[in-house]
Amino acid sequence: MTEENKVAAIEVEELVTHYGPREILHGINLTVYEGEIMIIMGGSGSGKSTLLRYLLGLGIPTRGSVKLLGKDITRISAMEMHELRKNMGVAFQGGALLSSMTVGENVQLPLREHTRLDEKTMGIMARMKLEVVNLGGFERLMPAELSGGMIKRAAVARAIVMDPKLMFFDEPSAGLDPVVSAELDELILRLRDAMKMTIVVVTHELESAFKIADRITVLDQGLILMTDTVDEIKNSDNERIQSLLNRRPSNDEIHADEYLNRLTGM
Amino acid sequence: MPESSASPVLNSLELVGRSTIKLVEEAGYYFALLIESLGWILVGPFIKQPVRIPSVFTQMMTMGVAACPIVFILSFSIGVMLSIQMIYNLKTFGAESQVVVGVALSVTREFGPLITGILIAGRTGSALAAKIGTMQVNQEIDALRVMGINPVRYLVSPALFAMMIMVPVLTFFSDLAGLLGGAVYTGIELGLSFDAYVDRTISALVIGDVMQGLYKSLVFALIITLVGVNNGFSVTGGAEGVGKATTRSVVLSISYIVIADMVFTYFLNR
Repeated sequence: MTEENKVAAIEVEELVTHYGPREILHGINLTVYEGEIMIIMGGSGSGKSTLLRYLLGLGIPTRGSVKLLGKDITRISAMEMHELRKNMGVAFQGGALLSSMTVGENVQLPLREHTRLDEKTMGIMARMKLEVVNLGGFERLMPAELSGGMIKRAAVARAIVMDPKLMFFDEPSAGLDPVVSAELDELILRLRDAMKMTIVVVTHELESAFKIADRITVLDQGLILMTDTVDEIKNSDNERIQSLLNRRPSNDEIHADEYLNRLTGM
Repeated sequence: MPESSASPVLNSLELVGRSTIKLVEEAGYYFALLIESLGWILVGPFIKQPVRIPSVFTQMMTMGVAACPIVFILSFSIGVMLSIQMIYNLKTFGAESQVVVGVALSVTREFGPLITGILIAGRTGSALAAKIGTMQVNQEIDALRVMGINPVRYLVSPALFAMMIMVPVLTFFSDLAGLLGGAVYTGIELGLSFDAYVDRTISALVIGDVMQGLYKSLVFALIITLVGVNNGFSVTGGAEGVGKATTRSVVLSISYIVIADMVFTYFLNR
């Protein structure tokens, strides 16, 4: 694919956000093209989870715009946002299945709320999606009866039940053993290839990032350090990126006076 | 953070100001939440996002019907307790037989709605805060929002709807249980027959007495739901936060209920 015929699915421009009085993101620019797997990487506190929240329209930014499928979600009406949400799927870190419902009911929930399909059709569609994530036959169980990996996969099934164009994953491999985590990576690749989804994954797991990414964005302290292909990121000579890749502890210089002031609370 | 003022007087003034602002802010939030949930009930069906009737009925079962036994026991006891006290008091004037009027008015105008309100605040208000708080902690609220399911429509409106029906119904039930308690004790103590008790109760009460209690119970229903839900939504900090929110919602809604009771009783009796 050449640069010209790529269509942007997500465009973030000059995004600035605050948490209370503290500025978290300092002007983020990011473009994700259709059919691409974009990994957002960064250490703890780099702002990657915050960025995801704003991509999902869960917060109102201080400045800047977030365009999903050509619509600026910071400006559109509630009804337009409601329509747009039907084209978005999100797999949260802890799965976020509604604990009062069975797995099957959870997967059916978007269908029940957004369509007028009859009970049987919804049941079949939910079971189909559960088969996609290898959870066939588990629809009668409650979320509390599933393992961590199964919950995450069930959450993916719920996220894809409306066949969204955009799919977001928050830390898909966090807290999973390597085998299950590799299965989830396979699943993400399969979703992109079979369903032509645009996928954004927020993670700090290097191995899985390198395996599935088309491009990687490295976030550090609320700024984007670099957005490029896996190879370019690996060969980058940026010190912070290399620390992240090689698991080196960051050794910021300590200013003696500032340090003393912090300790004495001056 | 703004610098805190040096003098203790200014400090405490500042504290009063800050808590006032916080209180007004919270009141505004309750009001906005009330408008939004009522809005979904009325407008939802026309924009293809209706409030689900089955979930209203589920809520009515769990917060209303399931509470009947305990409402009965407490209200019956209140009825008995009131008759004991009133017979003792009225003895001083040799007017024991007036106990029927006293119990009838106190139960329907005051004790029925109040005891039901306090009970439901402890039972349903806490459950609402805990449920929504847990969902908040587990990102289930976020999940609902990104699925295009408005959490207020999905969680708050059915609860509010159910409470607005069930709390007055339970209050009426509590009135009956309280009066029965009075009838039983008066029957034993003064030898008044059940039929005579009922007759005298009916002639002592006007429709306004019962209605006054029911109006108040409707206000209590709103208070319990909004306080519970609001505390649930504002949970931060995991399981401990859920515990705090639950406690806070019970204490706050009982306080608001008692204060609102006083205010409404004043205005309804002018």
